[in-house]
Amino acid sequence: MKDRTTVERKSERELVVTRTFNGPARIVFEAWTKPELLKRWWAPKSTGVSLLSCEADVRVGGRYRFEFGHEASKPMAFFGRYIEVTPHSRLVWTNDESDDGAVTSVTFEEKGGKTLLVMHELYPSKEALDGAIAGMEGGMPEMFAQLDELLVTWA
Amino acid sequence: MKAAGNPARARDPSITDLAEKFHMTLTGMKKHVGVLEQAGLVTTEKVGRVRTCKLGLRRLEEEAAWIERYRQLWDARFDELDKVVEELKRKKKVDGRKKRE
Repeated sequence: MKDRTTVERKSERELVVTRTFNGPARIVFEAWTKPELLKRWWAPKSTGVSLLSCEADVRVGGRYRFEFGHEASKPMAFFGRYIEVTPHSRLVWTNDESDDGAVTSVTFEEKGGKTLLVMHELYPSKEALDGAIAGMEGGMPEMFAQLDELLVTWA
Repeated sequence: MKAAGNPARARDPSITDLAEKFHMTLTGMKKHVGVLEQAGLVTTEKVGRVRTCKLGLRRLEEEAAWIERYRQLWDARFDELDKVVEELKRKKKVDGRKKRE
């Protein structure tokens, strides 16, 4: 049976994602730190976007850059720097796409052959996290397009 | 009435405003807005004797919906990650056996 993923807004500035994996920490850590493995799970088919490129130089000060999109001409890029790399237990990186980007830390805690993964995303301010959440309006364009249509037919 | 500086003109439209705008009866507009409100497409708020309408969900509902979508994204990623972990485990086992041989 698969384990449940939880997401919680722990504070005004912080989101926490948790999940347990059925394997030792060194294996889960490996899947987060080798680009050829990251590539295989970071952009699952069900999300409808594909990973165009995935570079990750996982060492302190090393950079990463993931590009997503429906077409190669207009990719959406996520990039930043690794600021802490502790093998098999902790990874920390910056999200430099905007000034309001979070600092993401991921911890891997092994217990009885399983690994509890906890991902913290700490935003620079409450407004930054609120903004990331409000950005979801961009994620609901179909809904608003339909409403626009409805309003037009009324008028 | 001070037309230009009237704060009432700057607020969200009331059901009466919408009924006028779309040449509908007040009752008809109330029904329409009710349906949209149930679907979460419109939020209404009673200010004094006037009910105003605006597009979208309430703040808290919006946040809960965003968190659930975010959870689904990570859940989908982690389902794929499960497969990678299983594969690496199998590989390590095979490699370990080879070393012992």
